[in-house]
Amino acid sequence: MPEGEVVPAAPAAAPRGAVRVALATALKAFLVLIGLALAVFAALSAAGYYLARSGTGPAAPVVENAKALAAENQQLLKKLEKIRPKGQFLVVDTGKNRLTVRDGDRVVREVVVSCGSGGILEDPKGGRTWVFDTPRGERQLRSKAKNPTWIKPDWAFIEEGEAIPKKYGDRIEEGVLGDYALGIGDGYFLHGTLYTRLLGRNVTHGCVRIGDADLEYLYKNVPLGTRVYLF
Amino acid sequence: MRRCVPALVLAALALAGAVPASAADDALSLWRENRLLVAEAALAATPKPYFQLDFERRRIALKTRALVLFEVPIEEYGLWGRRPAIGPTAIERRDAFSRPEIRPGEEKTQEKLDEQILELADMPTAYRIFLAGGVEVEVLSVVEGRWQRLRQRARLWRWRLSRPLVTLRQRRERREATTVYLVLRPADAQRIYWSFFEGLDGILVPPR
Repeated sequence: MPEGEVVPAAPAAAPRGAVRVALATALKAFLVLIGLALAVFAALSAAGYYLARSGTGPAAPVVENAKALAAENQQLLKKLEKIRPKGQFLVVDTGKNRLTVRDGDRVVREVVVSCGSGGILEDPKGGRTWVFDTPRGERQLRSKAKNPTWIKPDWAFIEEGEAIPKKYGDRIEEGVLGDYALGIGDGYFLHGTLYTRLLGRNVTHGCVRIGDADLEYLYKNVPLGTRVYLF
Repeated sequence: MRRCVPALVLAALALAGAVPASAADDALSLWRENRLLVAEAALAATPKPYFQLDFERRRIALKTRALVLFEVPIEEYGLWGRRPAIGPTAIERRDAFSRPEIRPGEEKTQEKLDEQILELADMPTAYRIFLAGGVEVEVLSVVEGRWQRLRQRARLWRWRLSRPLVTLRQRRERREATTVYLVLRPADAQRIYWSFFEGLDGILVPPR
């Protein structure tokens, strides 16, 4: 090389190499961090897993006399069989709005009904709240009435925004409960309805509304004292 | 390979049912049946309905007087933590759901009617139920669609992976709980929410 000639250095190579080194260092650090985090997670999980598996739970049973236990189980099964409803009973499914007439295991008739709306009404004058649910549990047919009359309770006036009447006679409303009413206690009835297009929907104030033909069947064929299971 | 042959033969026989269950298994079955029947006999003697959450048969039933009112299958479940005892339990609490308010004097149109009534279809398909004895049940529903299913899978895996950490937190809080997830069909999840109210007694049958 002739004296005095200056060979310039390649300017782009040095910065590119430094960037590569920095990236590689960052990536290494990131991977180490991920590895550490996974290791901590694995350690905590192992500790949690061990604690869960070694936690207290019911002791393994010691069956000393299997024959006696088998005999006791048979007795319990007989007891449950005795408890299970026999003969005619009604089952009301408030979610699906269906009433089933059962005779033991046999379904005699399935009926579309309307059950409680679940709505809440508060008395604007304060102090009273009504929740319009069809009650659940076991009840019995306690009364039967033909051409029932509705004696409107306070909530019926409050819901309409009307004043509560002072005279008892102003509460009487004919023809809205259908041809029959079957009482199941606490003011709840299985009764008819003018709104047959709403059967199958939860629109009532707690009673169970039934179409005319099905209601007549129940009135004529289901005796007083018949158990009614509502859920 | 030759050493494996007897083991393979035994495994094949076991699968075919030729190898009988051990006496211990029979005794355990008897004992479990006894616990279940004792619990049910006590509940069926009252007029109140009760539920049966049976992980062994993968069914949830609502019953009264030993009569099944309805029963739904458990599509999938996961259980973590202290194994609960087979026996009576009750619903202490569940995720709340607000009831519609009826405004006095409001005109009754079809639209208003739909707003003012609670029906089965309005019930949630995912919620939590807290049972007595520290059992927390998360109810989820089977979902349709590829992405929805993937999201649910990811959620369930997150549930599984987080359980040991939940145990550590519970130990710090000095409590032991069992956490469960149940996957039901959406209509069944709604039916359960509708029928299983706070205070409802029941029977828990954990898996073996």
